[in-house]
Amino acid sequence: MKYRLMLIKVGIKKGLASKYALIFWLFSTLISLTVQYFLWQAVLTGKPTSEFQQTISYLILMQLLTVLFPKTSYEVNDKIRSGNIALDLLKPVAIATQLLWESIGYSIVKFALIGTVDLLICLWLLNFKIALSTILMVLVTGILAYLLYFELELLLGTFSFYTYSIWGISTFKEAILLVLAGNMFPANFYPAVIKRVASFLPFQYSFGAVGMLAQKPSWALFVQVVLIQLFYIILFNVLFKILFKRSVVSTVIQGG
Amino acid sequence: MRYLKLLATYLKINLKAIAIYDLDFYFALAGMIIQNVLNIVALRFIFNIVPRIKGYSFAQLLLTYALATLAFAIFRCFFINALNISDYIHDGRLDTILIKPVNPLFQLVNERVDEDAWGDLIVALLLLIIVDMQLHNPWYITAMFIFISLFTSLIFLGLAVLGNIVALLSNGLANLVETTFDFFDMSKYPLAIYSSTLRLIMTFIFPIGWVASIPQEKIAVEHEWIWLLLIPAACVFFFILIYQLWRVFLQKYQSTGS
Repeated sequence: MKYRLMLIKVGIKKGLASKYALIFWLFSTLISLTVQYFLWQAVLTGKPTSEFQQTISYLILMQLLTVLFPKTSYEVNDKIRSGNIALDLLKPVAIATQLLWESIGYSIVKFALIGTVDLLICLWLLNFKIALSTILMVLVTGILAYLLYFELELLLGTFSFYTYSIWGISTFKEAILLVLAGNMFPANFYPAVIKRVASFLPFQYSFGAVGMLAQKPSWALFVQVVLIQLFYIILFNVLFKILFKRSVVSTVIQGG
Repeated sequence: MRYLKLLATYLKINLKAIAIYDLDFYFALAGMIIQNVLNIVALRFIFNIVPRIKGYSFAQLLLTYALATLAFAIFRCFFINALNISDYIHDGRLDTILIKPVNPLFQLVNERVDEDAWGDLIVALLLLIIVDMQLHNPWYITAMFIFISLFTSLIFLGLAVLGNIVALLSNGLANLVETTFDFFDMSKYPLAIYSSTLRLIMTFIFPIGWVASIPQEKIAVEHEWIWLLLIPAACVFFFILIYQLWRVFLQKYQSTGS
C-alpha cells in the first residue's frame, strides 16, 4: 500500500508541476463546452428545457471523463521509444502498477481543478437537484470506467513494441470512441442498430454508460453496467498480460 | 529561392521520418478517414432530431464542416509543428534554431509534418466536391473554396503561434496551443448558432468565423466575388499581426539553459 501512495504522490507532483498547463486545459474545456452549449441550444429549440439541461449535463460529464482518463498508451510508447522501459522493468513494481497509480495521482489534480468547475456547471444546470444514490452510482461506475479505459490504453500501448509509434493507433481508437463510446452525444439520439452494437462493445462502458446512469438512474441498470465493466476489465487485463509477456521479450533497447 | 530550396529539403527529411513508422502511418490515415466519416454520421444523427438547425440544412452544415476541415487539414499537413514550439523552448532546442541564419518561425514550422492529416485532407476535399454538387454549386465555387482554404489555414497557424507566445513567457512550461483544436471545433458550425457577442469575437478578435462560415455565406450563397480578395486579405492581415507579436515576445525570450 505504501508504494502505491508514493506513486500517487509522484502523479500529484507531476500534475502540480504543470499547473499553468492545467489552467489552460480548463480554458480549453470551457471553449469546448461553449460550442456544445450553443450547438445543442440550436438543435433542441422548441423542445422542453429539461431535455436541453439533461443533454448538456451529460456532455459535461463525458468531457470530464475524457479529461480525467489517462493517456497511458502514449506513456508506454515514450518508454519504449526512449528505451526507459528497460529501467522500469528492473523495478520491483510491475509497469502496469506504476502507470496506474501515477495516473490516479495525476487525475486527482485534474479533478481538483477542471473537475470541480465541470461538476459545478453540471449541478447548476440541474438546479443542484441530484439524488445521493445517483451520485453513488456515477461514482462507482466512473471509477470502474477509469480502470476499464486504463486497461484499454495499456493494451494499445503494447502495440508500440511493434510499431514504435502510437499516434496512428491512438487516432484509430479515438475514431471508434467518437461514436461507439457515446461521448459525442447521449445514446438515446443514436439509431437503434448502433445502440445495439455499442451495447456489446467495451467502449460505451468507459463513457456513455456512466452518463446514462446519471441521466436515468436505476439499480438494475447499475448492476448490469458494473458487471459488464468488471468483465471487460478482467478480460483486458488478461489480454494485456499475455501480449506484454510476448512483446517485451522481443524488444531490443540500444544501450546508451 | 533559398527558402524554397530549404522547404524542399525539409519536406524530403519529413517524409523519410514518416516512412520509419510506416505501419502507424497507415493506422493514422485510416483513423482520420474513419473519424471524419463518423463525424459526418454523427451530424446526420442530429438531423434525425430536427430538419434544420438555425435555418441550415444538413447539406449546408456539411459544407461548413468541409470548409473548416479543409483549412484545418492544410494547417495540420504543413504547419503542425507550430503546436510544438513550447517543447522546443522547454528542451532548450529553440536556442539552436535562433542561431541559424534562417527565419526561426520558418524553421519551427517546417521541422515536422503531420502523419495523419493527409486522411483529413482527402476526406475534406472529397466532401467539399460532393456537397457542392448536392447544393448545385457550379465547379468554380469549389475551386474558389479550395483557393480560400489555402489562406484560411493561416488563421489556425496564427492561433497556434498566439498560443505559443504564452510558452515564450513561461519558458515552455505552459502554452495555449491546444485551444487551436477548440477553435477548429467552433469553426465547424455556422456563426448563426452562436450568441451575438460570440459572433463578434469570432469575427474580429479570434477570426474563426472567416474559416468557413463567412466564405460559405458570402461566396456560395450571396455570390459576392469581392470576398475572394477580402477573405485572403483578412487571413494574411491576422497572420502578420500575430507574427509581429511573436517577434516582439521572441526578443524577450530567455533560454532555459537546458
